[in-house]
Amino acid sequence: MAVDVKAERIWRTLASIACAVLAADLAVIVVTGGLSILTPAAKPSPAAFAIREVLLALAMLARFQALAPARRRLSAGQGLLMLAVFPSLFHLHFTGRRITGDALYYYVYTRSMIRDHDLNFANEYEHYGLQGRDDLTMPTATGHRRSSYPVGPGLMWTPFFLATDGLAALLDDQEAGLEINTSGYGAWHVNAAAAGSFVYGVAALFLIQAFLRQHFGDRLSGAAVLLLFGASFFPWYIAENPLTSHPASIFLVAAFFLLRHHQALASPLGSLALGLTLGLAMTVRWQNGVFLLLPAIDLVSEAFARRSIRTVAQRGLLMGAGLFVGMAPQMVAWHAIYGEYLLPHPPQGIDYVRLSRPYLLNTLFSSRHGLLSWTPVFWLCFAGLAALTKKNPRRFAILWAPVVIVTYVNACTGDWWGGGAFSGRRFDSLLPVFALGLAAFLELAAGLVRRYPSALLSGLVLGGAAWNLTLVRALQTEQARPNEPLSLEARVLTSSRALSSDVGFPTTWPASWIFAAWNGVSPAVFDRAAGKYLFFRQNNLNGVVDVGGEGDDALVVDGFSGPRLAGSSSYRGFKSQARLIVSLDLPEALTISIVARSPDAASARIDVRINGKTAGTASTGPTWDESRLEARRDLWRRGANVLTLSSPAAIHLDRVVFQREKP
Amino acid sequence: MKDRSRVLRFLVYAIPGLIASATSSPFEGLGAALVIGATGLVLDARLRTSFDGVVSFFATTAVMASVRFVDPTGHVSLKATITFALAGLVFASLAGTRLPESLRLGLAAALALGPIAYEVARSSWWSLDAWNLLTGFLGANGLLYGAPLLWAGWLGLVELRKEQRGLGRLALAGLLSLGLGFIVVTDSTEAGFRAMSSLPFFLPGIAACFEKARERAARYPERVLAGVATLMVLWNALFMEQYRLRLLPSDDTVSFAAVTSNSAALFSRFAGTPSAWPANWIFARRFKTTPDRWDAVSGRSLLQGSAAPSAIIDVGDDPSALALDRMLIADGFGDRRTCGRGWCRDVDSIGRVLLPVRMGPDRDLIVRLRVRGQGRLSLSLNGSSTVVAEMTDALSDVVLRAPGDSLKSGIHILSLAVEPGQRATVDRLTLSRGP
Repeated sequence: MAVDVKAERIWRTLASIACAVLAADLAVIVVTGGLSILTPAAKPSPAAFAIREVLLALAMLARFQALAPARRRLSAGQGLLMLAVFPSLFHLHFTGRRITGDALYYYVYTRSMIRDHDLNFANEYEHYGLQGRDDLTMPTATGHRRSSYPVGPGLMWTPFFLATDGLAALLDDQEAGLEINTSGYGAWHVNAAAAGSFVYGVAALFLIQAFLRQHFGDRLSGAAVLLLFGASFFPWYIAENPLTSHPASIFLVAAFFLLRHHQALASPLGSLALGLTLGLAMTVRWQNGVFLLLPAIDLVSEAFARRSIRTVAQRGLLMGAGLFVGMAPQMVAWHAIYGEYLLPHPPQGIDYVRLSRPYLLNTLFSSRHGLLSWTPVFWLCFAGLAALTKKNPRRFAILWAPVVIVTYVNACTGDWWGGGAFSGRRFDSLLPVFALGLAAFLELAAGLVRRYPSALLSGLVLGGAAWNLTLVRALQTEQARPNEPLSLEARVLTSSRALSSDVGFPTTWPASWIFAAWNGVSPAVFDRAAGKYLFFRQNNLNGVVDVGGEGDDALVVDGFSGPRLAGSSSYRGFKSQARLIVSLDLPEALTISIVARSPDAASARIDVRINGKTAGTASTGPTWDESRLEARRDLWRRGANVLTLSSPAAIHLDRVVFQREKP
Repeated sequence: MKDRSRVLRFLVYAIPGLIASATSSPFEGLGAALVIGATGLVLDARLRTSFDGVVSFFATTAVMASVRFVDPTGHVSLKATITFALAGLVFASLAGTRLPESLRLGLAAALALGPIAYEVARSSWWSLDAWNLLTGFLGANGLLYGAPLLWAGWLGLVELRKEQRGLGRLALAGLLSLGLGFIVVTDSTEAGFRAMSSLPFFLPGIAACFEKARERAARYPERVLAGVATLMVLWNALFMEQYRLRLLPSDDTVSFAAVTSNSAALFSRFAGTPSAWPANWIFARRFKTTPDRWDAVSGRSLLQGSAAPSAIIDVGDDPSALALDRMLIADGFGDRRTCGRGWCRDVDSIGRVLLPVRMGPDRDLIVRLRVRGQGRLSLSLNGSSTVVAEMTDALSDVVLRAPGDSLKSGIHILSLAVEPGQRATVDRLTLSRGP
């Protein structure tokens, strides 16, 4: 017996060593971009990296499953999460991006804090070639350079940055001739920050699973978290684009939910920890302040239930103190950069969040990174959350508060599409709540399938019918050529076009139906038109609809011919009537210039209606002419507007230019 | 499902007919919907003698939804509608009759082979080719490719063998006859019509398969959910991959038709079209190319029918997903670029083009390549017929003539090889029949 225990201990130690060595080797490979402890002579190939991952998985299985005491074993649900971790690590190392887009603005905090011991980004902006940007070169009141990004992500990466300094020092001593860029701009430090995000993301997965386990079984919790991970924007932000605020944000909010679930407010230390976690979460993403609502309501409920106002006040104060400490880095950063501890409005500008102007349907359903249209798994989360609330309203109804507030604030944000985001990334902090909903949905769905197994048959038949009958519609609408075998790509394209044209693309329902009914167009128009603005924010049309040019199909509704060329100019023709769709952030008076010709008539008039109301008439002749008309403010609507052009003569339309009175 | 649901079932069965008649006259549309809906009810009623109402309903709906009641122009096809309706009636009679089994099976085979016999009678030539079996079922115009639910008709035969032997044999007779029929190659353009009279024979298998699937779903609902979850993860992974590869604008609107199309392209390049498995894998292995190309070449003939004297592949002209040349080019060609007033693609060493050609042995095949470049270009078909020509700076034709008796109907490989360090800029490829 004693021998067995001793042997088991030896095996456990060996497994622990194997885990540590393999994990360290993978970490060094990721940070250094290819140096390996195990094979120093060769840069690991993708296959070699994958083999290390498999070996680590096996070592972990041995150490934490086979050789671990029963109570300390890795649960099946936690084991499921490994299916997310290892492929993502591979992705992070081999194809993940580093300093792109917003990543730069988060990373400069880390570098500046550690290398320069300040928050003046002048040298970092210069290094990254941003001298030309007026908003970044103009000094603030304190002589610093602006940053509209929070300090939190940069702060959270500092341990990884410092560890890389240690690794660099160690390897520099041992490996003569190894040229390591220790300026903080080098690949090692950037990789370390990316690895930091990965670690926070992975930790978030386990925290969310631990949170779900309090409500559901272990396997169901693991399955729900794994599905949420695989079917949402999560992998994008821990592996493909890790240098963002999202992994740390999800990690801290998950920790907050777990603490709250474990009655953190019942103890002084717990209250402090809860406040600190939330404060830190707010320095990572300010929007996380929404979650303050939950402990606030908990405290108020406690006050009513316990009648011990003193204890409640004490807990509240401790939580507030933790919150203050957690938020302090952001206030210090703002003070250093702007000279103020608290800013009166978002650093992006007063107009960044317009609480009276939500784009709710677009935020959730548009093709410009709509949450539900890009990642339909969130439908299941909403459905599950509704079911959970119905089952236990006292416990779960409160979770709708952050869901509604975050959704509304995201819909009111100027760039509601989240820039170059993958799906609705700004919903990141709701992932623990969504995971709860998803687990509830899976539990409910399993029961429903058990009770109504014919649902499977209806799903199969519906899928098969859609596959076959959409091709019939594609043939009828001449999107597919008869008897011509199509590649899967072409087949899916024609079928999807036919489906979208008839009933809208399913992930855009019901927004595409509402859009179609409101504007009197096909639901397919929603895909390209909702979120394509004439003037509003980045990637707008600059007021020009280049008819016949590349991408004009986003704006052409019906009545036009295909694109044609006349010399160097492209155009589309129409007879009798054609419609365009253009979007505005707000209604405003515009001058419309129409560049067109009438090939068959000496002169022709083009009547213009905006949203069904007459706006005026343009005229043209056999050569390309520009004709102008004024369109009053009251003709326009916020969002999409349908421009109807009608003429008794055949018209070739080259472009329509919209000019604002006040650009 | 009670009897009063008959009207509802009739309407569901009539939906394919209603969709098919969307571009036809109301009279034709109503007539087609009535015939198709009534055929569905007849098949459903026959199936109910062996399976329960729910399974019969879904199996019948699966078959009805697998039929295309349209002609190539997209209008409702009376020929297809009537053939299917008659086949449904005959099948229902055969399934319920007490005729000797050999006679029943013989009649089933005759019914399944009817359209093929009609097609052969109208063709100028015909031959047998086992490869055509794969094309007939799994080619891009094939039966199972267009209607993957019919796979269940085959899978369910195993279950039928255990519990409904008579019905199973009848179904097998019809389906095997269809398979035999698919081996026949003609110049007909109505390959889809071949299976029309065999479709009812898929019903028993589908019903048996559905019955089993329902039983499994009730016992293991988590497996059903795992399947749905896998689809959602796959959707997301393919979406991320196309976003990563910048096939979509990073900060603009996009059509979801383009998104699904990109996803399909990524998936099929890697794994092939699921409804064409395993034919596309066999094809990819045999022709040393990616499995997605199967969809573009299977069942296609560049010289289809006697009315098509020649076929032109405009290399690089059309960048869309619907472009013919994109999928026929197996490998070795560069990106499209302008050349003169058109578009071309370059070959730096060896380029291969897949040429699906279906023609009789009495005529030669002439391949005319419009190309420019320096050095010598070697052009060969299936590695045998070869021509070597000196290229010039101006676009000119290089002609290869392959004797008809050496060509089987099917997919041929045209290889273009240039000398090391040289480049051929290919504008177009013209195929024609010799005298």
